[in-house]
Amino acid sequence: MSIVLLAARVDLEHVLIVGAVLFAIGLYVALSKRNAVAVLMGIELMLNAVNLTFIAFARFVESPRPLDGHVFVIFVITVAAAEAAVALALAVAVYRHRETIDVGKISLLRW
Amino acid sequence: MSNELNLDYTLLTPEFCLAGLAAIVLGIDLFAPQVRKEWLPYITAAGLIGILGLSLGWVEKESDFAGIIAVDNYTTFFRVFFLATAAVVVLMSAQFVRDRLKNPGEYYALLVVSTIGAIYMAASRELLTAYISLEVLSFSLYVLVSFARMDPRSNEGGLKYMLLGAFASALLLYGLSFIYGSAGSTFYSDIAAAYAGGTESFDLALLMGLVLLLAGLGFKVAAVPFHMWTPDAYEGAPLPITAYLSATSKIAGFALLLRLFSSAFMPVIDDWQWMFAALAALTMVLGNLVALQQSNIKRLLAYSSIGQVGYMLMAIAALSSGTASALLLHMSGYVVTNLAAFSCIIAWYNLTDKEEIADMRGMAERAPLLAAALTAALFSLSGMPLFAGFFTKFILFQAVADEGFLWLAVIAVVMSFVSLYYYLMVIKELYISKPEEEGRLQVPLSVTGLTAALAAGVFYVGIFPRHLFEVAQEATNLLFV
Amino acid sequence: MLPEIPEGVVWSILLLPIGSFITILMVTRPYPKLSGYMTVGTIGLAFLFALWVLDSVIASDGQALPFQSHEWLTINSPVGHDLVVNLGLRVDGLTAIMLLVVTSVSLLVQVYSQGYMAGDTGYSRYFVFMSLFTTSMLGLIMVDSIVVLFVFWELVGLSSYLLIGFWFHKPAAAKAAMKAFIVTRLGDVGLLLAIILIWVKTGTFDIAEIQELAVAGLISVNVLTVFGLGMFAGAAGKSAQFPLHVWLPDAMEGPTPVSALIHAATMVVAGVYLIARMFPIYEVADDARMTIAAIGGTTALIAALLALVVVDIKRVLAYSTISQLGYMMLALGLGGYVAAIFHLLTHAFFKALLFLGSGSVNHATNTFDMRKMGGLRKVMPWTYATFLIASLSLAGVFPLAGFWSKDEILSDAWGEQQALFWVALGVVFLTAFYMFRAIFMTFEGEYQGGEEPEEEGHGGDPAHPHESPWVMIVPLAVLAVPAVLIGFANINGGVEHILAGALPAETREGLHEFQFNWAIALGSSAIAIAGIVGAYLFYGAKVLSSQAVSKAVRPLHILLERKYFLDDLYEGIFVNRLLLGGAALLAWFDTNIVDGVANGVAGTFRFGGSGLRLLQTGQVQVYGAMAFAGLLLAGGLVFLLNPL
Repeated sequence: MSIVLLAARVDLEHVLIVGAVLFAIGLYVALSKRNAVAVLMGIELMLNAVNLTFIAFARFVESPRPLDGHVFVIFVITVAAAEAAVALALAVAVYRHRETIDVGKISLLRW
Repeated sequence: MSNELNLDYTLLTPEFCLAGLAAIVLGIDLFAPQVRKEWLPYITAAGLIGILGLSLGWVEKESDFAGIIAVDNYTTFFRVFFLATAAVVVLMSAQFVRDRLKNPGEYYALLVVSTIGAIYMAASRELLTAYISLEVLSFSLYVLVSFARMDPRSNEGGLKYMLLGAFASALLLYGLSFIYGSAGSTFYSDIAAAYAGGTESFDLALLMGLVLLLAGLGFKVAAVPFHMWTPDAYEGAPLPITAYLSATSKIAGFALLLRLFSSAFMPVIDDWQWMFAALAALTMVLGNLVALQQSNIKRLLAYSSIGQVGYMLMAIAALSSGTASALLLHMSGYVVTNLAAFSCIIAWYNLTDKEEIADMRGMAERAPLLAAALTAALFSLSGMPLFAGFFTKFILFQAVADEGFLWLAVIAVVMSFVSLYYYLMVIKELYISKPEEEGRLQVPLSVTGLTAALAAGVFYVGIFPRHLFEVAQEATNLLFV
Repeated sequence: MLPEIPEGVVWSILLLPIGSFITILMVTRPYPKLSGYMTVGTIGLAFLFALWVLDSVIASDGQALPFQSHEWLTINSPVGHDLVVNLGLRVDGLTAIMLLVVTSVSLLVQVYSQGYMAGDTGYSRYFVFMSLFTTSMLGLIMVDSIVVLFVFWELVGLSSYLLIGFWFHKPAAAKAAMKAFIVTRLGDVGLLLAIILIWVKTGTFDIAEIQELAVAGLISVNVLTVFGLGMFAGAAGKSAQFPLHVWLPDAMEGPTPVSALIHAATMVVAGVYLIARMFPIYEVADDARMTIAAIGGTTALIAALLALVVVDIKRVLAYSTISQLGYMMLALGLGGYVAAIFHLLTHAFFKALLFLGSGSVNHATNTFDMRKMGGLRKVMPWTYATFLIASLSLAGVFPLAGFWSKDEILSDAWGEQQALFWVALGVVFLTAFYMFRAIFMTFEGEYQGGEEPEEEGHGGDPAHPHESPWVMIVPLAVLAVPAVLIGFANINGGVEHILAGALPAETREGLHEFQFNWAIALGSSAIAIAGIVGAYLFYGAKVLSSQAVSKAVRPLHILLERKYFLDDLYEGIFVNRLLLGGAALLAWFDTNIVDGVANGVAGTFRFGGSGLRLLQTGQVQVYGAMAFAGLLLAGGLVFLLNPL
């Protein structure tokens, strides 16, 4: 019974808030971690928050095209994977030159 | 809009051909290594020009593929635009890539692929398609920027560009999710229909969506305060890619913005107009003032292009059919001019290995044609009459003022006055300072030809803006029906 | 009488120099002599056509000839005004007079250049730039649309940049060219804004249409005032009005024939032409008009004072030009439309003559420094005679050309604004004084030796100054004729008649009737002669010592020598402090403060994490944080603007 009650109480706002919290955590990680891979992980978190939001809207909002949100999510997941591939390759390339992927130390280009 | 899906794949022929071209280029690289060194750029350019000719077959057509990709005059305009730009950049790269980069096949193939992304950014009528196209373009660029694997600056530029680009994508996507939630659809036309009656009251999801969208796309077009990757990526990238960044990547962003905001968000114009106006003002002022301080020609052009983005953003802020066609005209003039400038800079770099402004001194004596073409391009950027920059800017400012943004036009006029100062500083180096070494430099004939053709284009747009403007008008009049 | 001029011939006035520009650029560059002849030939033909234009305009009482505009660019707008830019001719009395001035002075200067520039390595290039300049100047005075006018206006600025910096190996020339370009373009900001404003308000660029609307009272006076002031900002840049006059003296670094053409007769009067062209608007917008008068008067006075202390003969002439341009602006501001243009006409001839004369002197001595000249009267009789005539004309001595036009300005001022009249009268005295100071220093006394020739440029033997070759003397002699006689052109109101014909009827009625005022004529002549005598006492007879005087008024003298510190002000404060400083500040802000702020933002994320580490946030993340801050700001504004 309690499960049913709980399910009844989850509506759009709750999912959105979870999404927003997740997004904020991702943002924090992306802006504060110094390891390039960790920054990338932060960005992946942000993308997951996006996915959650999309699903929530697709589930709860009246729409002529209810599947659009889900399709979007599939594509975002794919793009995120590609993104990881490119970013890791770049990180490796940088590591070969600098022996570090600390984004704080990668600052040849400035001003 | 009809419920029947139009799945006419022939509408997408040019892009299929592009994909084919990319595959051919890669194939040649793999299987005919002798051919690849000398002929690859010319094969690629010929292919691009051929496809350009092919895509003219869709002039005056008005159709769409499954409702997600429009094939109309606007798309055709940008097909031609991006294909021509890509062909020019490929030609400019020929010597540079041969001398300095490895894996030419991948280089040219990525350029071709990125063009597909750019074209679909202009063509898409649906948010997901637009986003995927954006990423196709961006991913190719991330790799291209860091293509000089042996150069730590190139790697660094690429990594920064990539991380910030991904960050911006996340913001953009989060914004798109709110738009979807608020309007219930990802199709531009449905979004416009959803807001047609105006939003009754404060629509939080829509506003958050717009703000995030603005930030995400602001990154792509390098609007202040989302511009900070630009100088680094420009400086780090191999020179022809810097040219490509300043042309295709920026213009594709605007092509997307223009179609999105004119066909989806026009009903809620009050909600976003002021954001763009503020962004435009900030971008113009900061771009032009910081440009005064630069000593590297790539960084100078990076900041000057940020200033140009400010002018272009004004057109989005004052969105109407008048400003839209003025924007297309200005973008065309800007790209021709910028490519002319870069073609000179690349040729100079190939000959001397120098890219600081101070190292360009005496170019007039060592390579007079390059110096003259670069001067023409810089005068055009600063908005002198006879050169492309004057009338394209004039028409743009005029159109913006006419929409009631006189104050923006005033800032723009003052800032283009400021810009004259730093362009003149470069011209001074070219002509007045004594060269470090004596002797004429032998500029290859192909480079001379390309540079002369681009410089001629600068004058052509400057003296007969009418032709291009009519084309631009044809391209945009369907956006505002 | 000739038949009325067909439109094609009028266009060909403009096309001839374009043709010579293109031909020299493409074909005859390797053959300098040919390039020179080509330029002279085309300008000569243009001059003949200009005479034909004048004839036709006289026949039409100065009214605009009925030419149609040709559409060049039309931008349809579903709402609001269509943006139409036409290419059309406006040929009326004002245009005809300007055409006459530009083509005739240009022709003589080109002939003179054949001698002056002989042997210069950039001989062909010189004529390319000259042709470009002539084209732009002719276009500027002939077109009927304010936008096309602006295009030519900018091209005039561009070609003058090229010409002033012609000897770009001299750092001073390069710097002067840049200064001229930037200062004049600063004024152009106002002009461009005025054009945009008037288009937004009226939807037309057609000069005649704007005039009609203004005269009919269909544009509000406030708009017209702003418009008029914007126009004047542009005009002040080109015509070197205070405080934008600083570029003109430096521009003397260019070749002397360039100074004669650009800085005496053509480019610098473009501003005066513009104001005159828009004169009906200033008749409505009184405030703008009075501003012009005040600035014109100020310019006339301060430039005349500066001319007293400089020792470079070309700079004396430059300040004199500024002062005379101020005079013309003063006249326009006081409603003396005819007087101003008449003065423009006479001034063009005698000032070009003076510049060419100074070039001739330089040809002999290799210097422009008057302290190194002296005693040239005997060796350069032709130069001396023509220089003297021109100086007398400039000083306004009866019956030379300058007398008549100056007299008209003075009597207009007397009728309109007494304070400015006295200023103008003071300038008459100063003008006579500094011109004769120059004459006594250059041509009288003992020869002071000149200067050795530079490596490049044109060598003469400074030890034995000689008269210049005939290609240089003939233009001087020819120019001396109008410098003496052109004043009589308006003695029975001929010039006045055709100039007035260029105005709309309503404005024409409001013009001052010119009355010859004996008291003013005699008074101003007496003052001019007093100035000449004063100069004689100081520099000719040396009865009085200029050193003693300058010691006595030392602060004033320093003020003048440093040009009122305006250059220091501009370079020190505006360029270095404000512009570059502002840019530096922004760049610094972009790299440092943003870091700090971003660190702060990152810090708020880290909830009390180790404080010191925060200062070392990496660059990429700073960029990201910066963007996020921008986003927060935008979000905050959304909530501010849309209260829940």
